[in-house]
Amino acid sequence: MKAGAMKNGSIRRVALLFMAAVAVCAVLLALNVGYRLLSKQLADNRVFAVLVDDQRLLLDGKTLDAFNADLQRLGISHQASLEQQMNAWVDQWLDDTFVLALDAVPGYMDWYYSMPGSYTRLYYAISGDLDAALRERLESHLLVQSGFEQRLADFDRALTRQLHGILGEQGQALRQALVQRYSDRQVELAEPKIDARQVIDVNAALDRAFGASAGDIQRWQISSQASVVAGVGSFALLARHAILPRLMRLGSVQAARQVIAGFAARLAPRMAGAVTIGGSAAAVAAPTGPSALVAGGIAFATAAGTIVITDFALLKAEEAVMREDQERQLHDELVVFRESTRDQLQAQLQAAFGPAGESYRRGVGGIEDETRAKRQFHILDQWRFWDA
Amino acid sequence: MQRPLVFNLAIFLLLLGWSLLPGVLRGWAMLPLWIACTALVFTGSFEAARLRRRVWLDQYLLAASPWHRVLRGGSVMIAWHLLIGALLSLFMLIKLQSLAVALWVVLALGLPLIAWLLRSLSGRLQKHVLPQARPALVRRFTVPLAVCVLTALYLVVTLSLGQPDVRGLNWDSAVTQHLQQSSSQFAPLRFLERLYMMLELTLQWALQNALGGTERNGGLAVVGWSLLLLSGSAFIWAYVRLMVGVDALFSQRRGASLQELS
Repeated sequence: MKAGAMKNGSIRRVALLFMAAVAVCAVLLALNVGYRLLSKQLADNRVFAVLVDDQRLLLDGKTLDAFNADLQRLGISHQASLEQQMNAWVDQWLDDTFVLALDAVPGYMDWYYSMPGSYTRLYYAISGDLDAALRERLESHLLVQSGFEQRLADFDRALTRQLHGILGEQGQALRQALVQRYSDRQVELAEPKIDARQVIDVNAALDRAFGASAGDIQRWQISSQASVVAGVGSFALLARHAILPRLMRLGSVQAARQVIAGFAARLAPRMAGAVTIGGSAAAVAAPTGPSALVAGGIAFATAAGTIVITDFALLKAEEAVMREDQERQLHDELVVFRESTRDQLQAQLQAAFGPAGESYRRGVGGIEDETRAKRQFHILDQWRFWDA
Repeated sequence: MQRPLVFNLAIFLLLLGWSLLPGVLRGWAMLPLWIACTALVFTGSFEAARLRRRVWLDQYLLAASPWHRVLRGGSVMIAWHLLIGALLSLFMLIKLQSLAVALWVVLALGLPLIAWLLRSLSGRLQKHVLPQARPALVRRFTVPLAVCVLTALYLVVTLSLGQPDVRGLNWDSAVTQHLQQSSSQFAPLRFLERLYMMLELTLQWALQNALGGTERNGGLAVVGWSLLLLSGSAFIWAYVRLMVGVDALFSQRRGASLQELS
């Protein structure tokens, strides 16, 4: 009897445990099913098609968010590197351009102190418009023949070409990086049929973003040309209107000019004297007749010739002292001008990249907004319920 | 009477040990523990339900009616109480995973309290209650008394424990900032655990923010206090049921052998 009762009791306990196990398993199963259903309901099982670099990436919502974050991050870093590259290019361009003018300085000096050069200057000094003539010579030598002016005129085109080149490269690199990173994180779909509303066109948005920032740079080009060089209409006129006057005002250039101008001034009364001597000699020798003119002419030529040759030797000696000085000052002034132009150009470019970066961020941010409009928001995700 | 106390102590130590296990092991050990707790809670509550039903049937049915057998409570009652038991133990186990030391002390104090209540009530009822109904009735009285005392202790301890400072925060940001990582391996359990943490955080948030302005935040105080009382009493109730269930199991065994002997 007692053994039977014990047996009965243990059977009851086993039955109890069994029932409890069944109940626990049932609750667990129900929880599991409920959890599955809930997460299926709430998880992002919608698939988005992202058009990038002639490819279509099929991404689910979470991956799309990661894609978006990467796009923003890469885009901003590309924008920063664009700025850097453009600055470097402007630097290089300025150096290359001014090298043309700098290399032309010795040639100009050679002409200045050559025989034909000297006589030309003498001629203009006597005829009175020495300044204009020197200016013209300087311009022709340093700016035109060296190709300096032409290069300045080409700045706009070169900048645009460079900008578009870099933008194209960067856009391509950005797209390729994204495709490479996300092509193996795609959703496998047996039958890819994507709703048109679930398509996100990164290509178009990137083009818009890059285009807008390029547009900003170009607008800057147009508006800045006046301000870069203070009052000259275009970069091409920079040389003629800003550099030339500065070069002409240089101390050594002026000093050299003074020498020849002074020479011409000294020359003038003596030439006049020679003329009178010739005249009076003729008057003494032959009171009337054409022979008197001839005699006077010979006397003038002799007198003038002697004066010119002796004094000219003196002049050359005087000028030779100045040559080195003048060459150095011309060179230095060009370098100073290059640096100030560089500062201005960099500052302007910096200012232009502000709005350009802004436009770019707006353009790339457009993708974010677009995505956000298409994505669903999950409060439980916000509280980290599903992940971690 | 001493053996159930020893068993209660053993179960208490088992729960304590389980809550100290590292994450993966605890996840695996949870299932058998859950089953055992469910069985114990079920035993107590099923016994109480049967007692209630018998009293009710005795009021209306003739002593000889076969309906006594039909209506005394069968599979539906078993299923219902199993479900209640499983959910209560689940709630208790989830809460035990992150229980403060002070609350463990409260639970430990519950052991002698329950034993003392069982013994003194049994002595008191000896002269008044039918012998076959007495143990069940003693347990029936023990549960609410023990739950009241332990819930009061639980409230005092819980309110004096430190909480994350969520004053002045939105509920939203309070949850986002302070919701902790869950340790379970099994996804639905992880979800439940986090749900429980959110519940706790919510009640802390409600209580802390209700303290500020009485005229504005009356509603918050109601939410906070009801959440605190509900969750606390549910937890303590499950625990007391579990401990009383041990006594019921032994008593049934004794009763069964008594019945067989007579």
